Order: sequence, then structure tokens, then C-alpha cells
Amino acid sequence: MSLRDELGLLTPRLRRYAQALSSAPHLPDETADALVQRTLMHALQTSPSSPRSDMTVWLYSLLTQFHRDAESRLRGATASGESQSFYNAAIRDKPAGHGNPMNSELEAGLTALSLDEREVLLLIVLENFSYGQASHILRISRGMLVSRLAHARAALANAMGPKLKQPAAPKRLPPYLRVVK
Amino acid sequence: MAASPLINEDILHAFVDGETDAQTNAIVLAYLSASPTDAARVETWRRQNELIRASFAKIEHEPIPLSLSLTQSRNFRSDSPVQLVPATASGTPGRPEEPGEPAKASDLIRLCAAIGIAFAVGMLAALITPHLTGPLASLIASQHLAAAGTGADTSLSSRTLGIAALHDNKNPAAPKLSPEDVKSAAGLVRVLIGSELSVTGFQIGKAAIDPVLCLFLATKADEPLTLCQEPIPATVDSPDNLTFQMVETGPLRSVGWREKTGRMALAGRLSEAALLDLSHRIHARIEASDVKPH
Repeated sequence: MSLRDELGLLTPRLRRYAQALSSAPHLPDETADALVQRTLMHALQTSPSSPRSDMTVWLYSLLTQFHRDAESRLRGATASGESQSFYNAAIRDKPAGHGNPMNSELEAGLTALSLDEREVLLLIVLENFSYGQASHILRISRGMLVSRLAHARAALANAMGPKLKQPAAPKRLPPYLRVVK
Repeated sequence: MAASPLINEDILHAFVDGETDAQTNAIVLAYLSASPTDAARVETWRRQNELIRASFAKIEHEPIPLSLSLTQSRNFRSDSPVQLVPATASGTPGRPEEPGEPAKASDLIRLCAAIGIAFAVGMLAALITPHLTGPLASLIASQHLAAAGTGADTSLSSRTLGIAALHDNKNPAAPKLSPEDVKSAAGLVRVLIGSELSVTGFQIGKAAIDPVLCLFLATKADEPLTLCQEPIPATVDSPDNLTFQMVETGPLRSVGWREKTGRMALAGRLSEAALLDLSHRIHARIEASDVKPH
């Protein structure tokens, strides 16, 4: 499989991750797609013609870094009073969910997370990376990763309130509790 | 969390995320059956996981914008010099068509129809095409060498640059396009026939950040080039003087200018002088052709 084939296969997943990182799954695609395009361009310009063995992890690492750069620029622009960044334009225009209260609350919950927490949660939960792979993508230790994951889950549970909580703690293990991954 | 000599919060997270082995799973399940509080927390995390996955699931199945399309070119016909870059953004992502796949008659119709639509109805489409100042332009704009024109002009150049980069390592020995193969094709392709450039493929943009039409060209030395055109909205006045604007990133550069047929951009790895020279030649051919603004 050529590099282009490999990148083509991964593009839908990269788009999903990029859109989720912005905590706005139903935004116009431009913001997330610009990140993905930058990632693909970088990969094509710097990678050998055959795919790397760690291609997936490498691409996610690139995209994560590009997103951090964009966030950083946004913070700088905001601090200096500018408001024309494509990024904050995207956030400003973010719709409030899909009309589905659960989705709206999820979006609000994800937006409320710190970027570090959001990255970890999305890589593990949405992108199905192992703890080891996610640690590599984010260049943090496994302990740090689990710590951020725990914070993210607690913050998300608080932000989403009772929607996610059980009506009452069962005395016995619910029959539908199972390993989900 | 209830005290346990074996189970801590890290293990519960690992359990939810499938990081634990079968033996640990059994221990965790036994623990949870005796600890309803932690069982409820684990269930909450599991429901979070499901909700997050469900909320973003459809994105993976959406059509990929052409600016992100890396689908390989395929031969138009086994003995045809024409190569098609699949023009539809709604193609199934991640499933490139096999090279050498037998061509269908509908492909030729699609080629002709697509080019015809892009040029013959291009200006009409401008009425419904949003003004394009995409985020890619913002990303690349920081690397402008010179940008004397309007934002919209350089936006097309930047987007063309991105598309050129994605197609930059296409087959360098692309076959040439003969007049017979495109005798029914309108507009720019016809203008280029007989020039030093050969047409190796095309794509029609549909997403808001894509130019309307891009042709993939090759010089006599098989140097790949990308020529994109988009209609100019009727509300935009034509400039009095012809100006060429250069945008550069890495080894690629793009030249943008306006024609009677629309806004143009040519991108490739050529030197600045060579790219400008080619742009002037294309401009001259368009000026001398019967391609008319719509």
C-alpha cells in the first residue's frame, strides 16, 4: 500500500478527530479540514514514499500539534484584541448542538474540558487508541495520561449532570455492564 | 472509591477502555459487583464513551472534501492517454479505484459534462458559490512571499497550492492528452491543447473550500502543475490591469490572476520565473481563444 493510499484511508478518521478536538462536530468543515489538510500536506512533503510503520500514531501526533498551534495562535490573537482568526470565527459561530439535548450537553461538556483533557479523552474513547499509543501521540507518560483521562471523565460527568448518571446505585452489577472495547 | 488491595481508579479506567487482561477483568467485575458506587461510576464512564462515539460517528462516513482527496488517478481507458482524478467528493473514502480498471462510457460523458458545466455555466454557478476565503488560506497566508491582490485572489492561489501538494507525487510519466480525446470538451482544456502543457487529470470542487475546477497538467519535462479556476462573483469588479500574485510554501508556489473566464491559479514546483512565464502563456492563450465570460 502506497503512502497516498494509507493517507486516504486515514483521512476520514483524521477529520473526525479534528472536528471532535474543536468540540464542534457539526461545524462547517473548514476549520477541522484545514487542520487535516495541513497534516496531509506535511506527511506528503516529509515522509518517504512508503508508509511508516507508525503512520497512524505519527499523523495523529502531527494533527494534535497543529491543533495546539492553532489554539495557541487563537489565544495570542484574543489576548491582543484580534478577532479575525478562522479558529475563533469557527468557535463563535458554533451551533448549539443538533437539537438533541444530549448532544448539546456533550458539546458543552467537551468544550469545558481543558485541551489536554480533551485530547486524551478523544484519543482513547473516540479514536480507540491504546494508552501506550495515546501516550506516544501526546508525548506524556502513561500515568499522566490516566490522570488526565480521570479528570476529563469527572469533568464531563459534572458538566452533563444527571443525564449520564444512574438513577440509583444498583446493589448488584447491572447485567449490561461489560468490557466495551 | 472503596478501598481494595487490587483495584484502584487507574484500573477501573483501564477496565472501561479495554486495557485490562481477562484475569484483571474478572477481578474488576467481582469487585464491582460488591461495590455499587464504583459500578455506577464505571457505568457512567461507559455511557460517556458510547455517547462520544455516537455523536461523532457520522463524520467518518461523510464525503471527503476534494481538497483532502488523495484518491489515486486511474487510467481512463486501457489505451487512453487521459487520466482521471475522480471528480466526485462523494466517493467512498479510503477505497481508491484500481489502476487499469476498465473504463465506462459514462466516464467520458462525465469528463466532458463536468468541464462543460464548469466553464459554460461557471459564472452562473458564481451566483450560488459562496465567496471563498477558506481556513487553508489563513494557514498558508502567513507564508506569502508577495500578495498584492485581494484576499479572494490569494485565497484561490493558496487553495490551489494545497491541492497541488496533495497531487504532487502523482505518476510523473503521465501520458499526453490528444485533441481527439477532448474534441468535445469545452473551455480551458481546449485552450491548452497544442501548448507545451499536457492535461493528466482534473477535479471538480464541490466543498466550499475547493475551487470550482482544477486541471492537473504536466510540462514537457513531466513536471506536474495544477491549474485551478473559479468563477468571479458578479458583484466583484474586474481589475483594470492584469496582475499576477505569487504565494509560496515549501518547494511549491502558486501564481494567481484574473481572466475573463474567472479567477485562475497555477501551482507547481517550478521556479518563480518559470511559473510566471507559464501563467503569462496561459493568459495569452485564453485571451486569444474563443472562451468567453459567462
